[in-house]
Amino acid sequence: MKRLMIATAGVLLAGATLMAQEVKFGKIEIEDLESGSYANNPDAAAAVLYRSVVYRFHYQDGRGFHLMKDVHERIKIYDKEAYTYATVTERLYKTTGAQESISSLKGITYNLEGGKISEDKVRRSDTFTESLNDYYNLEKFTMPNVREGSIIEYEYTVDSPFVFNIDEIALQYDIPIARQHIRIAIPEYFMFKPQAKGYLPLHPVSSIESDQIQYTRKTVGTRNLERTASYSRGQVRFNLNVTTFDMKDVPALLQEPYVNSMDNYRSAIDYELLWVQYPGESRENYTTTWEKVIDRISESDRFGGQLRRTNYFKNALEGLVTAGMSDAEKTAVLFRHVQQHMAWNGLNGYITDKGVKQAYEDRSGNVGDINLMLIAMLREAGLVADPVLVSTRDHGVPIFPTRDGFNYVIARVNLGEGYVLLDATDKFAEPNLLPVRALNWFGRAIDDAGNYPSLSVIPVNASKETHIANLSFGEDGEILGRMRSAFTDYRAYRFRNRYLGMPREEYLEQYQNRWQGMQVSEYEVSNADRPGKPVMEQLTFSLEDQWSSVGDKIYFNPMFLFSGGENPFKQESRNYPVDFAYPYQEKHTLNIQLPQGYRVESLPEPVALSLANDLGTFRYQVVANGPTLQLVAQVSINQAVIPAEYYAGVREFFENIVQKESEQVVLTKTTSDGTQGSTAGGR
Amino acid sequence: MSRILIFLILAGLSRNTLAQDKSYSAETLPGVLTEQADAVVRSESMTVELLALDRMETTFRQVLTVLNKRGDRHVRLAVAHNNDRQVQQIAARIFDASGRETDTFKKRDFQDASAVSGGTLYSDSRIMYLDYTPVAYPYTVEFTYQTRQGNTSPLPRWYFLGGYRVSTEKSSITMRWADPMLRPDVLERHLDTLKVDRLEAAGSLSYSVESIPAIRREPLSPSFREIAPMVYFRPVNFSYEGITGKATDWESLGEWMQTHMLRDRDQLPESTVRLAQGLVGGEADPIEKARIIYKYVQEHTRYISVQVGIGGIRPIEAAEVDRVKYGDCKGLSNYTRALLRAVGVPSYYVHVEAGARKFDFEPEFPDLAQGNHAILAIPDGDQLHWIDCTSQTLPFGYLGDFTDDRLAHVMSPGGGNLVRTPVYADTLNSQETLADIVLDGDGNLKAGIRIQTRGTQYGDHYSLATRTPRELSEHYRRSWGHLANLQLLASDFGNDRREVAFTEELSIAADHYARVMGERMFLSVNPLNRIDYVPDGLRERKLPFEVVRGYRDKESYRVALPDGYRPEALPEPKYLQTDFGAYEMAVEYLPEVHQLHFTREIVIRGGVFPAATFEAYREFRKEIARSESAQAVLIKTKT
Repeated sequence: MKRLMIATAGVLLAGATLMAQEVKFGKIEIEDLESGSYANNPDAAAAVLYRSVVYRFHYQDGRGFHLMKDVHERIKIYDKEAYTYATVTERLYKTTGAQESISSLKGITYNLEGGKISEDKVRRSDTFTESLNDYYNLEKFTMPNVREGSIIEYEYTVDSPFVFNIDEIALQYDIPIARQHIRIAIPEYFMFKPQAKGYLPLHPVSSIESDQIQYTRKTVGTRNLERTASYSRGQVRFNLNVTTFDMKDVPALLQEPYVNSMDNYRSAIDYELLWVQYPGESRENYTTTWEKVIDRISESDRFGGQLRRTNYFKNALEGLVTAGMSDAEKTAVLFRHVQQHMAWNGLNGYITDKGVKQAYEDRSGNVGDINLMLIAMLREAGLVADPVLVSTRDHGVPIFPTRDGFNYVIARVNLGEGYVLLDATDKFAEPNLLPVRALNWFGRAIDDAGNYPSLSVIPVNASKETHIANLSFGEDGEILGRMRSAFTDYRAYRFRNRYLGMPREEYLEQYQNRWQGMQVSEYEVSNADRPGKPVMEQLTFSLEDQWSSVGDKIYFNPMFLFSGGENPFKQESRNYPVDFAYPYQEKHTLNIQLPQGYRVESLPEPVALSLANDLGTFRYQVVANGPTLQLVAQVSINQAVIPAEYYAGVREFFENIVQKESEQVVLTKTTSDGTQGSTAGGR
Repeated sequence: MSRILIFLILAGLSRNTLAQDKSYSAETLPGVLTEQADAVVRSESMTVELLALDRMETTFRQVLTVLNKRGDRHVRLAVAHNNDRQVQQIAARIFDASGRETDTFKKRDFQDASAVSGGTLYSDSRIMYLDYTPVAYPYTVEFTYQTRQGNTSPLPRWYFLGGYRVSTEKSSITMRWADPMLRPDVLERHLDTLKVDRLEAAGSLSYSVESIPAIRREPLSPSFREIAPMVYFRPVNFSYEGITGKATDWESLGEWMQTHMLRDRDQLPESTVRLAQGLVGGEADPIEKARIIYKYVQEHTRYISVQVGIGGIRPIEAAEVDRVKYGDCKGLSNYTRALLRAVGVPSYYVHVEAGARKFDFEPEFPDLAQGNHAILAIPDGDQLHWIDCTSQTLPFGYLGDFTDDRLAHVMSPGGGNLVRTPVYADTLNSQETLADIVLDGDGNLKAGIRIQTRGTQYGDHYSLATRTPRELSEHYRRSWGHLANLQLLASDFGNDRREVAFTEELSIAADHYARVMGERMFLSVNPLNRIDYVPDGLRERKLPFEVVRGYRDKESYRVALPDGYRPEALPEPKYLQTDFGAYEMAVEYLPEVHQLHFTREIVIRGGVFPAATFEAYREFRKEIARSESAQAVLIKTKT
């Protein structure tokens, strides 16, 4: 009963029916051909004048229901850059025995020739079938005679035997859509749950229509010793649940930088199958809530079943876990073992690829293979360990309860004083330090008691980068320095990922090339190969062109090698959150020995800035202390993901940092009797 | 069950028979092969058997030891195939550091996928491949395959060194032919410093090389092909998609091309011939006619690539392109040629190797392997006008940096020969910038800017004319990233297609261009086209370095200073003259107008320079970068 209510709620999207005006294929308005730009967006290289996508279920004797998708699009091409829209590709799924196919393709390019509309049809030779791999074919066609000003129009039907899968239906393109009509008509035997995503307001209209199917039944019998066949025709009436979207002036989806995948923000509608019930049969349930989704996942043999297999690692475990070990020690030992024993094959997935046993033997596997194996080992060692389903950054945020919402699994161990998250697929990951790909909002744990608590996987601790240097002035614009740098958490992770295993000479070459005129004379690194510890670097160096002397003045930027840089946020506004992946803190402490015979004439003003709600802070100060200056500059970003509404503040914040860190110190020569030089002023 | 048994048997076998086989063990590699190497080709061999004019079999075996994670990219367990080329056998075995076999892959373990590359709508290219996940380093991969094909042109090119950071212990190529007429020609490249075993016998020729140390990629390295030890083979007599041919020189290959690949493919419907004639009207000058036809093609066609079988070389018929108005480089070139013929203008079909890097066709070595693009050349007295028919935007006669300065096969009547495409010499690739800059008392700037580009730099700029305001704003913000909060107030573009010159007229504003510090103001004298590239340094430069194209940039700015400030210090003028180019910069204060006048001219020469001069080049670029970031200091005048 409860399930049914949820299902119904899913379909009751809105009230009244709205009559959609049909746009007939081939009926082109001459004004559209004449128009030189799209009125609502004159910069658009093309615009969809009309688009219709109809999903319907087609019944045929002998093969049952098929899902049909009727596509009709009419696109106006304004600029050459939009010629790519004149080639259409449909990706069709295939398995042994069943495959999607395309039919009833019709395409026409319209051009204006001497004031008249000319037409060029798509022919067989304009269509191509490419066998992409074992699972997909690409059906492609390209429109003839396309030029600036052309209108292209095509329609076709995709016939799919895979009735349980309605693809995500995009409601927004990278070009504007003047009008679109989307209709999804689903027989009452199938219950799908629609879910919308993106930033456009949607107004679906629901209605119930009736439909019927004709069937023929053949009855074989014998009469008077003769074999007979009798045919009976039947008819079934049923309801169609119809949802339509009629939209006008859909804006183009504009690309923005620092966004993982624009598709995460594209307006679209997604259909998830809830249940199937044919007449006279019992209901087959599919997914509904996250709980149901996870129920099904954990029942799966390639998930839950894998967690129960233990034989393959029994021997290894005995050698690793010894009596008297604390839970934390056991966790560390087993995590290292799996991390070192296993190589990740680059494939995501929360279910196993080859199965934990085979993977352990092969020493390689997908995410499911590796982390489920880890969880099984932890449990076998007596720890409370659970899988946590997550979605990788490039897979988007799991908004809807679907089995595709997650694509990754990590481990969670309860160590009494708190939980620790583990991912053994990455050689430089650590307990509570997941690879960046897995840092995406929240995950769902599957605990022993059958609860599926939601938990955040976004790091809250700041990853730190600290540089402390003692600097002095050399000859001719040069500075000399000794510096200690330290990197923690994700900054250490990044260091290890980039440089561990690189020959020292090559690393130093790269290091020196970060600045013009950098010479490193002594260099030492520690902890690079000890995950969990901060990476420490110590070096002695000289760097050219750091100060200039004009007359009796010396000018320099007291940030020296850490100066420069540009504001990464160049756009004035932004619609999507700014994602830093993890909070961080960068701190520079520079002790600067002033050259003899000079005194400070002017110093940059100290500054302390913060972002709203303490999302970030910046502190900068230069203090003169006898013959030395001390500069302290610290930037902190305290939250990994900052919502778009703070964008203007973030942009300004970084602009201020860039400005402040480019300010100069002015020194003035002191005369031998200790009085001031020629230029008056100073602080 | 049976699978496990087989696995055990195989594992047992390998342990017994191969335990002593050092060729799979990574433990005994000499230092000369591991230095600067991420992987070592232990042995690699290919045998190509020319069994008949239209029958060729290739057998390949490679044993590769991967030393570290970066070396994984040298593992290429893949074979390309298509309608003509079939994979007969393919297999791989994996060995651990000690040379013990750990994994075996058979043909059924390989995936078969389409290899249609981006930009191509359809082709019959496919690839059979295997993704292997290494579990520990070092490890060794043995890869073998065998293919059979009917096309005997082109023949393989054999690299004795597989790329940067991979060394070769042993590498050999053997050509065998069943008939003397099938004997291929050979061209050796960069073998002089190596010990090469060349063995020729009746019906066979082989090259074998041992112990080539790895080389690393260095900044501004010439393309790998220009330094790699290799041999090219080419057939004299060949068969391509069932059509036989003989190439003794470029002329005869050109003749074959024209006879079998181009002849009669330039027929157009009568209506199109009349249309073309109508377009040129009464124009008598052939080059003016060609301009009109090229413009028509640019406005009415688009590039769509379809490559199947013989379509890899033979263009689609002009009549078909005329109908659909799309085609690949061959189809569009051939179509344009047909249109030109319809208006009485002769033109030559051209094969060229396109790309930002320049590759010449080999004068004494005619074959179909050279060239990846088709363009047209239109004779005009003793000169040629070149057009690329795949571009909807390039000016007539302009090739840009895609096909410039390289020997190409021009198929003029009789067969044709190799001709160098137009060279855009250093100073022809120019950018001239004039700016009137007004600086206010807060250090903000407003500027009126005029930029004119020519030569290859024209090619980098002319598409700005068709960008949206939003894209333009992004473009200039990126180009002048050091200017804060850049506002593009106005923009206007002039594209002189005949002169091939592009002009940008801009009006901008930006914040904090100069930093106000107490009573001083610091400003970079070159806020716009700042050229501060310096190639990365190396402990030891081994390879020559290449500046692929030279250029000349010239700037002249006037900076109106805010009232109440006077210059306290100005950068020293700079003058550099080297083998790599020249640089001249000066800043002057003009008190009568209270302006700074900045002038700068930089000329960078293109060319290949010896490794020993790399440091001098770096020093030159460093000096320039230093001067480009020079600052002027202004100070408040006493009131």
